Amino acid sequence: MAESRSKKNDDVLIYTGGATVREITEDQWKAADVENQGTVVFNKDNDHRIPLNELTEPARQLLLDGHKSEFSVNKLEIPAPNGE
Amino acid sequence: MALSEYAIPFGLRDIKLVPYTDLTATELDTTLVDLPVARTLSFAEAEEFEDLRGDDELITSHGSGASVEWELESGGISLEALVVLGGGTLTTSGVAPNVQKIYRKKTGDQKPFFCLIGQSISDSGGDLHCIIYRARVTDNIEGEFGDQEFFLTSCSGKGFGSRRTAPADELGTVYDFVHHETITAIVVPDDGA
Repeated sequence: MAESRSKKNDDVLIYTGGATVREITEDQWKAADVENQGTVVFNKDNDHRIPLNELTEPARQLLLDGHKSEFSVNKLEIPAPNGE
Repeated sequence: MALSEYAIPFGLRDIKLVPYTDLTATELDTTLVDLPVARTLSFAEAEEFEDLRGDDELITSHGSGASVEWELESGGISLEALVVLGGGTLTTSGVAPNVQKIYRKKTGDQKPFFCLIGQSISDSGGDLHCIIYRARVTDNIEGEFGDQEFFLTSCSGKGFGSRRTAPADELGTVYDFVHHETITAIVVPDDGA
């Protein structure tokens, strides 16, 4: 249980731009010299957020440093037990 | 400086759009979408009246309910604003320096409701905001690529009564004119929370 809760509290990367869908394909990562990073998609289905641990460190840096107006990092909000 | 007795709006400083998060238009999004290079926002309160005649005279006319007919024009084309105005999907892909945006409209994409807000600076101080709570484009969204001409985006539509139940007094509101003593940036209408 503790492990599960810890995992849920991982940081998430939130797309805050104005597009309906924001994506970076594997080929687009490679073109930007980021290796071993799969396609990432921010859309309505995932509430425009993905767990930060789904990104490699270079990919993370590229988005947060090079596209800082589009992305932000936040804690996934976990409701307190018993609605407290 | 006190609020002037009446506003003397001059020019058009800004137009912002606020999409609704649902198709029934009961909850506004929290972010403003800018309509860049705002040029015109035309406004007409419209209402159809039904006449009652009898005894060889016009007895009365009864309105069928107020709505707003509006038109706007802006310079250039904002794909983010186009999604709010016309529905469809905007997909941004890639990373710098190869980012691309694709606005795609499909036959089945419905034009959504949105909140339309214009700001005009008042010559007598402060500003005037025009808030049309539940607008929808009901005519063409137009523009023209032409020699020696900038692309201008224009469209027109109607404004209907708000379906938001918070704040409580907003339900059924078609539009507000808000006269500020001090120039005030456009914000997303308060939900009363």
